[in-house]
Amino acid sequence: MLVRVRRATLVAYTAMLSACNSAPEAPSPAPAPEAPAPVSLSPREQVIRASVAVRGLRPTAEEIARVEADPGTLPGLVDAWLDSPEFGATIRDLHAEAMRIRTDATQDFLLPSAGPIDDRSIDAVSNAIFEEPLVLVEHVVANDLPYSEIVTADYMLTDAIVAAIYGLEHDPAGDTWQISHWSDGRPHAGILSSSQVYRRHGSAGSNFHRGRANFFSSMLLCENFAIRDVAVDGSVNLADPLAVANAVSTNPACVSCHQSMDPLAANLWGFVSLLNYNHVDTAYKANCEDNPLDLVPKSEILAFDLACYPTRLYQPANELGWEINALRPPGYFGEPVDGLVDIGRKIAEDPRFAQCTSRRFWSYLTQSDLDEVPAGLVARMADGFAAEDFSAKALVREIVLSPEFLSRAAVAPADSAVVPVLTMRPEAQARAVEAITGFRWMVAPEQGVCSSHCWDQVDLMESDLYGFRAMSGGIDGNLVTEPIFLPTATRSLAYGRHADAAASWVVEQDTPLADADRRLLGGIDLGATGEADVRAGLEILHARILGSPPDPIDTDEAWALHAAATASGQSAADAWKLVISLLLQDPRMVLY
Amino acid sequence: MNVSRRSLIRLGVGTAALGALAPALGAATGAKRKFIYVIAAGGWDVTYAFAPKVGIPTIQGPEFHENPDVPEDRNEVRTFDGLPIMTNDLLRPSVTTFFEKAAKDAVVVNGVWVGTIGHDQARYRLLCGTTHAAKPDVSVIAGSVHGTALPLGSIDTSGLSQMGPLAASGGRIGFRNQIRILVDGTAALPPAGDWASQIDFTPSDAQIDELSRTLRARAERLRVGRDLDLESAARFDSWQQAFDRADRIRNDGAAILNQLELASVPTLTSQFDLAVDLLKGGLCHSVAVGTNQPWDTHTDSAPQNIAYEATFEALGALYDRLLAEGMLDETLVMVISEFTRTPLYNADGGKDHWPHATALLFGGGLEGGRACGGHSENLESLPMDLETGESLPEGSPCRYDNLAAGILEMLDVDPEEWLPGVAPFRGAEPA
Repeated sequence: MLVRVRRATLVAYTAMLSACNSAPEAPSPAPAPEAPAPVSLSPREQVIRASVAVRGLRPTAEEIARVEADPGTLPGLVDAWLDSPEFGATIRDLHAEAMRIRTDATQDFLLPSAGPIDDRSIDAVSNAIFEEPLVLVEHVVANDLPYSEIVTADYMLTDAIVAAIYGLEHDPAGDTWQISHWSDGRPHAGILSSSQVYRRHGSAGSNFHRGRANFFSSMLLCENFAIRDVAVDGSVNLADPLAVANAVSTNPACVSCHQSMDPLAANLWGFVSLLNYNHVDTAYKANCEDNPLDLVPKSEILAFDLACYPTRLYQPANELGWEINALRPPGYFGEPVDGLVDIGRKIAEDPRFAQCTSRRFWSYLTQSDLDEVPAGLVARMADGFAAEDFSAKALVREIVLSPEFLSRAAVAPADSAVVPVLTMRPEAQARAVEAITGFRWMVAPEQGVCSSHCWDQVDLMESDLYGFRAMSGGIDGNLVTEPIFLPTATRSLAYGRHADAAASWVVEQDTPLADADRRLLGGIDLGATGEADVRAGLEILHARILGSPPDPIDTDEAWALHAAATASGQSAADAWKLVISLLLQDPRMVLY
Repeated sequence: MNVSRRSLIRLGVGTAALGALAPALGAATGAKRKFIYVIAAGGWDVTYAFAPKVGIPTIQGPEFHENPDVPEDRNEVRTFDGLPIMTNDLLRPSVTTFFEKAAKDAVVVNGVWVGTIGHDQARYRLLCGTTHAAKPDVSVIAGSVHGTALPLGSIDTSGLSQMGPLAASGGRIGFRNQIRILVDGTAALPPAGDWASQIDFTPSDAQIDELSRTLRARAERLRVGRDLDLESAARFDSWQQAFDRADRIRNDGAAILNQLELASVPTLTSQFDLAVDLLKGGLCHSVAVGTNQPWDTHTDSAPQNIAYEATFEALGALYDRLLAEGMLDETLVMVISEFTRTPLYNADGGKDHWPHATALLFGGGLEGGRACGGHSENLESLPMDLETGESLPEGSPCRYDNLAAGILEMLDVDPEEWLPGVAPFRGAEPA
């Protein structure tokens, strides 16, 4: 939540806390103090904040030292980070949240291991289909193409699994994800053509693709029709498509939204309304014979043979469904358009696209409410974004190097914003811990209880079904729709268990290795229990994990933990695991 | 008090600070009902139970899908302790069974105006009383106010609860009971492949306590001397509260949470049992449960029968359990779906979304056997007297925010602090 606090409210807040602790009556309001000016973060804080925001990783000790020695080196570091694979992961995470596309806990949005992917685990299939639109966005951003290409790209990216599901060209000898093209006749318009976007955002019953239109409008233009009140006229027979079509065109209660939304939706009729896990599963159980699939609207003839892989999510014959249902013709907020490709171009040219993108990136990187980003800030960012030819890298660069991002203030200056202390998202925490320890919290949740088509390997920090993403503040893409940035009990517990496991992993991995080959514990005598040796090791660890030498009290605390462990009979290795776990949960690790 | 809780929440003030307000509110309002919030996500068709509409040409209820070859497949309106309910003892026998025993303790609130036909937006409105997804729902609010001394204020078993800025007071069980991994040091899922056998380290309870103490101390040192904005202050406050509550969960919750079957698919009945266990065991003040039934019937209405039957079978068991535990009068249960379905069947034999909702309340000492509000011949919300719940032509429909404010009031939370200016619906227990 972005906080822009009036001075009087701050005073009242202070007064309220005072009243709670002492007297039932609030004291008279104190004179309003002058709001202190924003204060720049220290170079150390700046480099940590920028690094974690851009790539979900803490900076190395060397990077911190470089910026501490010369703060002017930070922009160069940011530029380097923007070219890293980890920035690509951040971009995917950002868009996964915006699209609500990673939905491992909702079976409808998964697809079965069947036919040509019969040998694949559910997690492998899920990871592939979830990432399909995200990899396209990552490709655009990583190659510094105009960000608008996410809605205009005349290509898509696929891996072998997505290729098998949709019948796409994919070279098994090539990269995992390759540029390819949809083959079912759909127009190519970036994520506007993405299969998983349409599968995740289905269109049930007589919704007639309006929900999908609103998703695109909301995500790309920050124009959310769904938040408006709907006053459905009860006299309209919704069972009669013609009556509905007439109402949404003429009934005053309906027209205001539908005159914008329906023409957008009219461009989407080629995509089948729904294609859920059960549809494909049922089709395979019927041997993919040409029977009508009862589970989709009967108005769309998606036969079993078309639901089986390669599935035909797009049906060119349905493109004129809007006309058959007497709905408004394709359009874009009052302008006529020529299909989905034209819609992509219109979105790219719409000033709201640049503003919404700027708003969304700011909101994500600063963990603030999308609706509360100040208009002046949005305008400033959007202007820069457009001037930089829609370079998402330039946008991120501008955000993380902005004065607001690199300072703290109790009160936001006019038309600006305060960026609060930020909290590691679960995906970032997982990446950061992996970078330090090499550990990923991989489990086989159905081992021993499932023989085929199972969840095989699941990263508990990136799973909602079996793991802790949503329990650690992330979203599950369907039910848990709002990220949580406040520390919570389950986040603390999850990060704690994750840290325990990672600490154990790295100690066990490093112990047999030669000192120079160790990932984390080089230079540390792992068998030592003497205070001097242990304290020396703790200082090394502190610097490697948190990027700075410890304060004496940090070392005292860690030494006390280590010493108590060995004194109670635990091995020196376990004592090191304990202190590494402490450092991986440290507030300087989790808050930035 | 000059500052409302609402304004503090809007500003993101930490719940540790807010918790300080709870005793004053609680003391002023007396006994505090516990709360079980049951969410039938997807959109139930209220004509199948709560709003019998027979012989009205503009509304097609379940009677339109009776099988003429099966004499037992008959829908009929029956009255249970004064509460009219549509029943079908072949397809939805548990609805009958439930109301036979529970109608005297149950109130139906028909005709709640939702004002949207999108699933998520409707859910936000009914649960939170606002259009904003980042606000806390009534279950979380009540838990945060009354659960300051408990391990958690509210617990969500469904994923549907909206926690917003009160997240530090709440918690989630996880879709496969994975909270057990976090509480029970011996519980773990099998490591995958090469990740096996290297991660068997679990600190002792005493060491976890010491880690927790150290991590709180470190956060406090990090905070000292910083001139913080309110959101940052809230995050530091929540850090302390999170570890404090985590400690309480480990220490006080193990007896219940360690019984959860890890990696299993919870049933609705098992979730209700867990909800009662959590409330009885003092782990939280409120629990949110999802029915996880196929309510969203656009292409075929038969699943409405399945969903009603499964839900009411479990609700019947919940009623029995609460009664047996002596908790029925102290526990308010609210069952709600985000909206109902269109009055008429569509071309695919299903029904689409219709922005008028119905809530079922029982327990909590309610004087039951009453149906508040109502639907018109177009299944629209009828105006009512918010104070009595009776239809009142010159009144206005009970809106989603009226209902949320009313539920907060029933849960001994001042609704004005959270939904300012919203008249609470008081018809469930009129003066």
